[in-house]
Amino acid sequence: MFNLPSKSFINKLFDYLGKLETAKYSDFNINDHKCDRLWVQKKARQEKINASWGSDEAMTYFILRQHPILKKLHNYIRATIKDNVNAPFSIVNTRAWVSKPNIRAYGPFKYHTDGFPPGHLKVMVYLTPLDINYGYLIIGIDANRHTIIDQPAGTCVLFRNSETLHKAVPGIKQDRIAIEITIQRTFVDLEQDHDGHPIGTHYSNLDTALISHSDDGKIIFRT
Amino acid sequence: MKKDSTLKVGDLNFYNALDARFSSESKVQIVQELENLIEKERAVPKIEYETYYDANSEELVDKFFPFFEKHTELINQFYPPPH
Repeated sequence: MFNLPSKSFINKLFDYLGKLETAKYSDFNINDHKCDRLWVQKKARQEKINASWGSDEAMTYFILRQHPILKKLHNYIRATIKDNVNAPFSIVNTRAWVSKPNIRAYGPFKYHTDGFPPGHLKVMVYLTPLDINYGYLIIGIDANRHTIIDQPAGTCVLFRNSETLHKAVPGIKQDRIAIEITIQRTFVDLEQDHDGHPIGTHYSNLDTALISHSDDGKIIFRT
Repeated sequence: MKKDSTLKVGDLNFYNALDARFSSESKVQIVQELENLIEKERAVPKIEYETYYDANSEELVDKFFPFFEKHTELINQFYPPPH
């Protein structure tokens, strides 16, 4: 766990998000990102959302384009976590959303693992405080349970999202605003070279994760 | 092992970007093992982007997770797992 470097940086991220378009999960009819690199499992998740919440009004996603403030966030996070990741890594995807208070426990609000391929980790960046009012995070269960609560806005958490059970706990009063950055351990540091995919998870295969596109199909590793 | 005699032109930028602490033999091993992995993965029929909406994760896990796993195992030979 670590914190963003300053209140002013948190405010800049708020300002940036506040100017963006937003969308609900159901707004993405197939893959409006027009990106064939990131994996999206739309239908199954949409069906679960509909069955659990009846609608997807509980969460609103920001449409993140590539932007200097996100690059600055990536750079800060990379520098902060590199010793914990213990290898170079690729920034795979960045998402941001608002979740409403008092929503029924479903999906991210129930214990789950993310089911990403081996080698992935996740960083959650909370732009609102982690507390009863805004909601908080629980990672692990039983003796390994860590409740991340009573932390200021700007708190960041690096964790093994597909190995460790975790859940978000909704707030009781306020909207919670979070940015999620998915990373993959690689042999060289790689930057996110596409817009944030609001419902994307990880690269759809190793080829798309590691190889530069070439029309003749040559294997040219990204650097 | 000389890097110039064993690596393709397209690999050299990657070779040069690898950890400077690695020996040239290790770098060549990494490049070649990754190339082999990608070639094997490319032989697997891809899940077409147009079908993502209906696709299920079991197909993805079966087809492509083993390659991510091999990639991670190779990384773990050179870097300790994250803590």
